[in-house]
Amino acid sequence: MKSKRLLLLAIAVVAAGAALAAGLGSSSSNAAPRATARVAVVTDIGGLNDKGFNHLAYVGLQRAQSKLGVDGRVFITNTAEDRLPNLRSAAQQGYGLVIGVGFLMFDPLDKLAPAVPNTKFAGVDVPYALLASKPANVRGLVFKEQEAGYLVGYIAGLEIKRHPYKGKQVVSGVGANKVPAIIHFLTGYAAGAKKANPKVTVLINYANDPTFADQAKCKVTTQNQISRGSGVVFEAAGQCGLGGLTAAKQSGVWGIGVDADQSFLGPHILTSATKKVDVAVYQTIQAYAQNPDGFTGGSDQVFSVKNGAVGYGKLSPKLSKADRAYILARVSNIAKQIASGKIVPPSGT
Amino acid sequence: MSTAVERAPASALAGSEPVGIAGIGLGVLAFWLALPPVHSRTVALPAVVGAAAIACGAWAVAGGRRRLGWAAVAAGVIGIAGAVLATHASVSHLQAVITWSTILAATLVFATPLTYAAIGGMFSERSGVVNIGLEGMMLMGAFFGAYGADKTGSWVAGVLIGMASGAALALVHAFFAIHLRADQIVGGTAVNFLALGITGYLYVDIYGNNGTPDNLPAIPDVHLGWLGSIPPHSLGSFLDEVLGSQNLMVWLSFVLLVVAYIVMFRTPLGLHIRSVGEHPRAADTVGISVYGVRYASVVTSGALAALGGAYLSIGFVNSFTENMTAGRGFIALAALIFGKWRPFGAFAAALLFGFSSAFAPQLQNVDAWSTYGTLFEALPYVLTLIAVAGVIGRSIPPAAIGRPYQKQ
Repeated sequence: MKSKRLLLLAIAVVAAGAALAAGLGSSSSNAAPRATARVAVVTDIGGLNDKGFNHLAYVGLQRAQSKLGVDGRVFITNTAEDRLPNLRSAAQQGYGLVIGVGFLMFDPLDKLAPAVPNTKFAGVDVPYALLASKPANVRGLVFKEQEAGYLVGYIAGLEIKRHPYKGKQVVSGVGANKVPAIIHFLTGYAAGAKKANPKVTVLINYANDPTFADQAKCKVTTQNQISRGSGVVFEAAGQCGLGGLTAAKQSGVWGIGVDADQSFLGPHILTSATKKVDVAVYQTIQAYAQNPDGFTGGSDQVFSVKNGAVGYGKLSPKLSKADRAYILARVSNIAKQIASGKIVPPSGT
Repeated sequence: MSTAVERAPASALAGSEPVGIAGIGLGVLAFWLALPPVHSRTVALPAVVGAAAIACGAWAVAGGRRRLGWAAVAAGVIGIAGAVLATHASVSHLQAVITWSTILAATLVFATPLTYAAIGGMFSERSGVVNIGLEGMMLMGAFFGAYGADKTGSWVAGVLIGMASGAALALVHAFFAIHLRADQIVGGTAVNFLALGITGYLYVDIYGNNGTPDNLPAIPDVHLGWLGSIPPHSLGSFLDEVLGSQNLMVWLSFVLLVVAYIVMFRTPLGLHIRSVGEHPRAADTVGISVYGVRYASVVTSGALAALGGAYLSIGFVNSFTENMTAGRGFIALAALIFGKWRPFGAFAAALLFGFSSAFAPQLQNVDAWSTYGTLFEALPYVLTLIAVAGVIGRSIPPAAIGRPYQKQ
């Protein structure tokens, strides 16, 4: 929580600075047109309103437009074949910073970036090591999902210790498919739960849903876990996981959301493992807007608990005051230890 | 029965069909004996039962029922092989993976949408129109089922609106396939993308960020508490866990199955549909409206596929998300083909496919086996390919399938 506040403070300071730089006293947004940074976001398949990556990346861009006054545009990717042409037209149209969203952007970025050395690129979830051509103008934006998983696992472990489900201390996690980000989330989750409560049993299952949209599969997988005694289910499964969270609600056990803060789904959501793509996009645009020439690629920028880009969401309003205080005091301490490097959650890959 | 009887050679030995079916049953039994709760720890017992299965299969093959017979032989071999593997696995691992009540309950959940779509597909394909658009029709049913239930406050109205939307999409497909004589595979694919676009757009437009409301009227579950009191207690509680709280749509799919069989194979209407699919010219000359029958069949298939989609959205998970059918329409088509374009065959295939979906995640309960789940899920499709390729008794489609009919 504290890191979040610091972040807001930092944003406020920068925004104020940007307003000053844009021209004292001028309220007009086009006061300094020549200095305006031009930024494009190229989405991945799934549309702008996917409640996941694309949506959060767009939110980050919108925030940058309103707070930093950058000139932004979104290129929407509809099929796998659109990724490269979208990146290319963004570069050709003079956008100085082009942000590709999604792991699968690594290949088109790898192909395009060396050909347009004057354009800066960033890839959300794209590890720089995957780019074979080693372009100096691409920056990878990667997340430590295991830290978010660790924190919500810790919360789950504490909750089940205080309130065992049907006399058992079992918590579980569901992944849609075995991809790196999900393995990170779930490995961190298991480790966090064990840290909070050495007696806990952690069940991890994958729903085998490569589409990330098949709610029925996550629901059945989750129901199996609940029948095996799980009292807290963490759904690291995109839209598939919504089916699992419904199962949790129907069985009267806790659910834990992922990526966005999914507390809006109802009081059965204990908390959420948040991965703030919007923060990453905003911070990247901010760094570029402040000093376009100084924006370097050639490596990964890591988003973690330390810089406020992963963490845990709101705690359920259903928790008693005592439980909430008990959990918050302990988990914020753990978050601090993760931020300082004292605890290093395992990633599983 | 009709086509099966037609295709059985005149020299069939008496009783080869029941013997073949019994052989398949024995093969499954051979494997089952080595699993919880029976746990035969030696191979001898399953091996004897499996050998009996192979013998039954051989009898059926000799009797002219080649496909059934070879299936029984395969079941016997797989049963013995499975039993050998199972006796080598530790009991605790087996118990972690095999919870029959959980697996069978989930099998029904996964099989039900496939059953609706496959029966729907049967009507369309039996009339001679390939319906690869089942996926899109399911998706329409899923979205409009949820939307209708939300707007009217009644799940019955939701289901009806969902069916109407699937029928409407099917009508588009029918118009292109029948009147315009377009390529039916291309038309069906286009219809799938159309449905993805329509439902995706409307979903975002209407429900925005927070998704469908969590108080959607749902198709009720049928609670059969009395199942639990059937003696002996273990049987009762087992039945209760498998069937005790399944959704109404699961039970309706059984009814639909029987009705579809009777309509297709026991009524003049069914005969019309099949004759139009086998030999439209002949049907035309005896005064059957080829276009009329085909339109009706395709529209029926859309409505039934949409029922499967509505089961997913307002029956099982109680919300809608983009592309939530996730390819089930195509799997239903595979079930239909594997089941030889027959209702009970398609249902059996749907159960098999459902079983593999239900069983795959269970394998992960043992760390060492977790990677086999994905492989196991591929098994039904391998079987479908074998069936289509004709290794054990070829699946033969209606003769005029995919061929537009031109009136003279």
